[in-house]
Amino acid sequence: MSASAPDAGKRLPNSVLGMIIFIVTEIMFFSGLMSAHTIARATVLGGVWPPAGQPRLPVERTAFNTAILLLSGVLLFLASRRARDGYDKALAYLAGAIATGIAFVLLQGVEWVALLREGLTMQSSAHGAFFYLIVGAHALHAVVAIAVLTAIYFPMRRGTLAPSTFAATQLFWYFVVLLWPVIYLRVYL
Amino acid sequence: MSLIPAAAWACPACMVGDPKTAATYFGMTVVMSSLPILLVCGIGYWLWRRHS
Repeated sequence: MSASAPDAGKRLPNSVLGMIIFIVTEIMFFSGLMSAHTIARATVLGGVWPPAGQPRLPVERTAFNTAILLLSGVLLFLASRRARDGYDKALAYLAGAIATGIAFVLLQGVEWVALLREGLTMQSSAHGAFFYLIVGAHALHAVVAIAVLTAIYFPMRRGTLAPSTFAATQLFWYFVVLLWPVIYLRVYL
Repeated sequence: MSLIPAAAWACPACMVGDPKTAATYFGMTVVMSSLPILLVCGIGYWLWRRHS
């Protein structure tokens, strides 16, 4: 019996299909959070959001941080293009994607510390609760994705990384990167 | 029921408050109801195109 079917090259790797299904569930998870946030904004007393007395979110600084995260996504895309000519040519781009991803999380951490000092907490208002829940859930995904990107860096350097693993990891990072502008537009603006 | 929630009384929470609140409830109901269908159908279509 033949080891590979004629259309084996067109088959979707299990890891990629699994990641797609996982991302679909994640889209629904974040949609639920954003839906609840949208309704909370629309039904707030007085129609003013953020509620009076609550700190304003750092829109400009976060816009810069958004650009850093988008750059990370671009670098990973370039890494995938370069990987076609050999993993050694993609390593620098992958390292750049990891570094900019870490920079995004660190800047978010600095922002959180500043907001906590200004009095925005999970208990201070619905504004604070939704902010930390939605942005925190995204930050958790970013940290996990960065850990996975770092984990694939070493087998990529050795040349032993499975292409399907790289593809699945890329999908997860693209999801984290592309989700953020949506969160920024809904939560910060 | 999605098109005439007031007549069907399909969403009691949507009928309270001002028109903006009702519109928000209605919009989010449409988004959350249609999103899973769109996602599953979109992936199904993409897989079908990939293998055809």
